[in-house]
Amino acid sequence: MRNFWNFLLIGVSNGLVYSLVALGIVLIYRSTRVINFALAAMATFSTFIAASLIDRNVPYFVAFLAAIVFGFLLGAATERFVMRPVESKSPLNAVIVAIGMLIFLEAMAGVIWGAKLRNFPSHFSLIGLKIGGARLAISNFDLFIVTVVVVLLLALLVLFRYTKLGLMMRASAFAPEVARLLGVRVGRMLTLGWGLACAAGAVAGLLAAPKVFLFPNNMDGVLIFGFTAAIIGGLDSPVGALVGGLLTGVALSFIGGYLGSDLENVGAFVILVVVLMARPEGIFSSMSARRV
Amino acid sequence: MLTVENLSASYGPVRALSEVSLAVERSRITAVLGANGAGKTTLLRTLTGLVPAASGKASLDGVEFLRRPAEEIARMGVAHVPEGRGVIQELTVEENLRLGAIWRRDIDVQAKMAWIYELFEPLEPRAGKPAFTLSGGERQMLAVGRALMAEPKALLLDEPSLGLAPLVVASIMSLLRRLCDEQGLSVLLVEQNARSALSVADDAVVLSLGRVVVSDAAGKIRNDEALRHHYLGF
Repeated sequence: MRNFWNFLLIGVSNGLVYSLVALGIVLIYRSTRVINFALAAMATFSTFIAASLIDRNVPYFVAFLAAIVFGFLLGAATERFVMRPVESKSPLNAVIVAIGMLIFLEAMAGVIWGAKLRNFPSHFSLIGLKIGGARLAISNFDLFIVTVVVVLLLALLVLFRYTKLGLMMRASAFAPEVARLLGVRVGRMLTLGWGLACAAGAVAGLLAAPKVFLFPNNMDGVLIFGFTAAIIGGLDSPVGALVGGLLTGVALSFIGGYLGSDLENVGAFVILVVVLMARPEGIFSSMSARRV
Repeated sequence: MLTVENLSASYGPVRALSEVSLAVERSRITAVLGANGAGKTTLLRTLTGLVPAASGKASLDGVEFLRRPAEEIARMGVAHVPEGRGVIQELTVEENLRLGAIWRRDIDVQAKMAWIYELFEPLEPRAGKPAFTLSGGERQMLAVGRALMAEPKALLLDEPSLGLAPLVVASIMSLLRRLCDEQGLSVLLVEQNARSALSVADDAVVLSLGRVVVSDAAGKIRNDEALRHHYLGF
């Protein structure tokens, strides 16, 4: 029974990281219908920035914030200068460009920081917490993950629900042409959306790195789990991304725990296929409502 | 005053508008009539920057605005209510209204919304509901109300009567007349439903294959049976 609770807790902690990746995918997909495969590389690149700052004795939290800001700028610049020229063409063009970005950034990370495995400090202990003599599988670092993700999600919720900027961003995502007719500068909203999405990706990279280590394509696996989470959630719903991430994390944790950790990747694909067969529009999508 | 001079536009090799000229004074409604494919919608979309203009001029109170980006044209006071009502279905009624004045910093949004709810009474009880729960008539009210939030000088309406019951159309048309007079708007009213458009308009132009074939006072067109038969089918 203790195993069960441990697997559940690990699943939640991992799942929140997948939620962030899913959120990064969803924020871009719902406004541009583009799957940003480069998100993994952007997250890794941002994490490398934090790592090299920490190597130069910059405090952990300063490096953490700097990496998030870098992720934001990288995302915004990618939209403005790389994606904007192909935006008006078929979405396939943009997806291919995104894959190109993925390969380019991962190669650049290898050139700059070397293609070897390295540690990334977690600042908080990775050793399981002790409760009444029993050691749990979750650590202080997992509690840090939960805190960061919850704060980030609340901040985004406030931004989207309660601010003028958020309203303009949602309008630009749902109906870009109508938004323009109402005086909304949709181009800027897209740039901002890519920035936020990649900042979320950077946070995911920072939170995943202590567990998966840091190397140029360390986030590829996490991207697949995040992508699964986004599909479960319906690709255009931020709430769906959160729930999808948690479901994916917990399911994979049980699969890994009870059936063997080498089955986790297979498990992700099985979940993906089952969801796509049973409910192709995802659990939280509003897309079916839009077609009416 | 909204002025359009020799406006032309094309979709690839297809010329959709040829040398269209018209002028709408303040507090006046000009109806744009014509069959399907005559270029009515293209005229509005070209004016508000959604379709690139090939040649010509358009100005509002003497200020050129053609070829500026759509969002900047909106900020100059040209409001375009697109065909199919253009309400954003995922947003609530209130969010749609707020969006109408989102770039204006000098407007009391609450007061403006209260005024819209007074004009369009069915909207107020639905304020917190997503716009997709509204009926067709209510969506049209929301689209027009949203366009009025930013206090535009020119109002461009694309087929506001489409798919609405005759009573609803009549009430929207008479409200349009009232708003035009009270707010000093220049209204360009694109309509397939020529009869109800002519009942409120001061002037009318008839488009055929992208050209202005008739431009006259609305009353004259209403009374010219031959012309009505030929171009408007009633």
